[in-house]
Amino acid sequence: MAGQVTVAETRPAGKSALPAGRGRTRRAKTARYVLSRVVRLLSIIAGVTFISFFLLKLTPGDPVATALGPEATPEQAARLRASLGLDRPVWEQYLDWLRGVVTGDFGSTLSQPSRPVSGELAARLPVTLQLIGLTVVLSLAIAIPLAVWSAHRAGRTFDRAVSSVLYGFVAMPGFVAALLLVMLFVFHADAVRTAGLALACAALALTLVAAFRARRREASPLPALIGGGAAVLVGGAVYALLPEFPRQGFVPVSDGLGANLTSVALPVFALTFVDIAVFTRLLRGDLIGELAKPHVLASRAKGMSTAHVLVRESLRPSMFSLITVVGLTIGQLIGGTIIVEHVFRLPGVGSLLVASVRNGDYPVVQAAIFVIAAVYVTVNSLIDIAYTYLDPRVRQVNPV
Amino acid sequence: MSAQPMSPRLLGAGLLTLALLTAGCVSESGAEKPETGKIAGDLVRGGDEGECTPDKAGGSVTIAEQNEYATLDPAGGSFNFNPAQQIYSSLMRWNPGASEHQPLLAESLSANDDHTVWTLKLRDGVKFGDGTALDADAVVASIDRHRAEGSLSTWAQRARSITEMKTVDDRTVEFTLGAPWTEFPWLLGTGVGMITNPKVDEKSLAAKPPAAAGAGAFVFDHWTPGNELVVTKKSDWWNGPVCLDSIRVIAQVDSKARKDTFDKGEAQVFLGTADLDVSQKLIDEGANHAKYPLRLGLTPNFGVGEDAKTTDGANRTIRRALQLAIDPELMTDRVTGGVAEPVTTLVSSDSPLNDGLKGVPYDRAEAKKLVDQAKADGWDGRLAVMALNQPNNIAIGNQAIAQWEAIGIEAELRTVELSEFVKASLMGGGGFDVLVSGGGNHPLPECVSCDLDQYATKGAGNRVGYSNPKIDDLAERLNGAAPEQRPALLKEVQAVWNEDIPRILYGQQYYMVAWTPELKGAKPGRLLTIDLSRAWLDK
Repeated sequence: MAGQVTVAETRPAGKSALPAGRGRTRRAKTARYVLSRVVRLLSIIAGVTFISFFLLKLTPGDPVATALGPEATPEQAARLRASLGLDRPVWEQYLDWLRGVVTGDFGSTLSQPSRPVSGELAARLPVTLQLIGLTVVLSLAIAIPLAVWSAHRAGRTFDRAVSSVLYGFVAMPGFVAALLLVMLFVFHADAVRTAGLALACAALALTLVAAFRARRREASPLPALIGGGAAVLVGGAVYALLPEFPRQGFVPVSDGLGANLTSVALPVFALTFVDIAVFTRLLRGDLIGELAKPHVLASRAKGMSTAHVLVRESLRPSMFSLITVVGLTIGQLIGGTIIVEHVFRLPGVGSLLVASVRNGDYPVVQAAIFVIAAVYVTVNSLIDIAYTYLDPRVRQVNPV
Repeated sequence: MSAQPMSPRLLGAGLLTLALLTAGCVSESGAEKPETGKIAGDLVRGGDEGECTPDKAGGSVTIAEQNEYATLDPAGGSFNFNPAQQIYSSLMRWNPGASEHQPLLAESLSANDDHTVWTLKLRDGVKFGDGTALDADAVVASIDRHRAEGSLSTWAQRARSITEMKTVDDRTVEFTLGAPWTEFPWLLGTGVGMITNPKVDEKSLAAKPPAAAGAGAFVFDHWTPGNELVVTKKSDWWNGPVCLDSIRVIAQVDSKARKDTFDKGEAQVFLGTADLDVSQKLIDEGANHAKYPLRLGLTPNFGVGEDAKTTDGANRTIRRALQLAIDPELMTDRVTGGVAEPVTTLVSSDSPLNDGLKGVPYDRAEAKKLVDQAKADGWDGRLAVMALNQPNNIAIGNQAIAQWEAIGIEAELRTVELSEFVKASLMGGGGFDVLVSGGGNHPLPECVSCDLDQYATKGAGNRVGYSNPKIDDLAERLNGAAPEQRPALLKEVQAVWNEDIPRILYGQQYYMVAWTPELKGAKPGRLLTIDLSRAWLDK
């Protein structure tokens, strides 16, 4: 009973325990905190677009040259330049653009044929968002179990094997991963299927031998059966279920979910390599530290199951660094999927941005940077705000 | 003796080795080196399988191009030729197999004796998508858009060689030219010959031409830049049934990735420009194709706009040194993987236009002498070389620079994006002496006079400011020359060329349209264009 009293005394007071008037104060503080974040967000976005506009003017791209092609005459180029307003002073062009944004109008592309910039972004953003969403979800789905088990078996064979493979993932540039996946899954899919079958057969045979030997030693055959069974399942699934992946192109969800997922599968795999490695290494490190803390040791001493100790006691408090990195990763991926977009010819925001920089199409570049900055800053602000709910220590410093 | 437990590491290593060995066993063998082909020989393979009939209908075709272009308006600038060909068709068509211009929407095109007046007779029953007849008035109105003051048309200058257009009757137009031009039919096979419906709002043509816009077999469906442009078939085309349901055009800059797409069956038509060994490999692998001769070389900057007459490219002694220092064998081997013909002549050795042409021989000692002479005259021995930021262009630039450095020239390669490349060519101010054109330019059999026009002082395609009265005179004579006179004239051009070096040459190769043999009835047309209006997929 004494322990319960101590917990009640040290825990930050809940809403119901607040004296009259403190609820309003806290709401006001919350509003101020969120407002300050929004102001900071807007000022960052304004600064980014201002700098990017003038930097873009220093780059060599020219929408007029792109629109007219190499066989144009200088007179034609001058005429189109004037009609697009590119002969006006740079600051005037920037203010025009800013006026439009304030009224919710991103303008039209300078690249011909001229199209509304908002439409261009709206067409590209879903592709990039789908890539990012699937990449993050898949990376986390693989990284979290790997990290948990690696931390549990730290220094053992499984942990060392996973670490070695992950170092390889981190060292592999995105375009190499993308081209390797194309070579294997697009052009040598039969070889991959056959390898899957061979893996399944070999795993089955070796598992049976290992289980038989374990029985003879009067040891439990369960570890061999679990490990070998997993290998059989993976190999069998590769053999039986590996779909036909396209070499390039994007199929929208409206044309069928299966076709859509098949079209983005390889790009997503290519993007996940690095993320799996980073997420796993980060979470594993935090978990190893957490597993050595007194409350976890106490939990173990009380005879709690391994699953309870790993998931309930250790995983949640170890997630903070991972959440931060996931937020940063989402921000980076918004404009950073350009390599896989290029290799797989996907119409995402990254490829639009690069093409627009090349063409000097500043309304598109500005709008894309605006969106990227907004997503980046918003995600990170949300993470900051989430901290205050997840971690009482942060709440003490930034009261919400 | 008790059995030892199997080590997990041993188990893992065993499985991995087995899987890799198995995968290796079923992998395909490595690629073979492409075979060198004749340049002009075997210009076309396929396309003569007949025409679409209703029982062959169905299926869609994807065309994989290198770049996406800016507009679908034939008079609008950088032009999407392949989809436009399906939407508008054209008055004339270049047949690369027969090496002649043939009527398409036209019934006939004939000239007077001195080729200054051409009479076009339209086919009966040609209709736009809304059922309106494509008549003489529509032809005049459409071509006038190219000739107009302020037109952004790629062919504006050439279209202005038409001084007068007269409608003789509903189906007949008479064109009067400012000077004799025997290859005038070529113009009506370009965007100028793609007749747009005068009832349609011109502004809609660039991005979303309505169904009424053209007389071709297909209508515009949608265009998502960076992804795809799709046209779908007309259900009641005036010229008979259309077999293909739709045609999709995609752009993939990297030619190896484009070939992957073609090999995988995700594209049925491949347009090959850069990376000539990739094109040759497709031919070797049995793809149907049409080849378009391509002259490989580097272009001196003679001074345009802000660069006028200030560049080293304008110095003939230096130009001759640059040409003499280039070893065509080495260049074609390193740059094209050995698939190009290593020559410095204007056309390939097997071209019908080649009547014993002789180019400039490789002579490094003579090149060194000329460099020393130029330095004695005050040249600092430095050279700025500009190349498009593409692997093959960079390879060409580096290879040429290596050979020029061997004769005492200090050359620097500057890589730029396409828009800056075009801008520097148009306006000058790029500060370069030599321009690497990955492809170069075309000794076009479809328009020999257009080729030389690129070097005429007032030529439509003269982008680097070259000027030589002898070439101007020859260009004019070529404009009025009959086909049988052209080889002899080209011999004269080659003599002037060798003396003055308008361009530094090292080989002959080709651009290519390739298509899968399952695609029947495809008709290749002018440079890198294919007409699929009567094509079908062999199921």
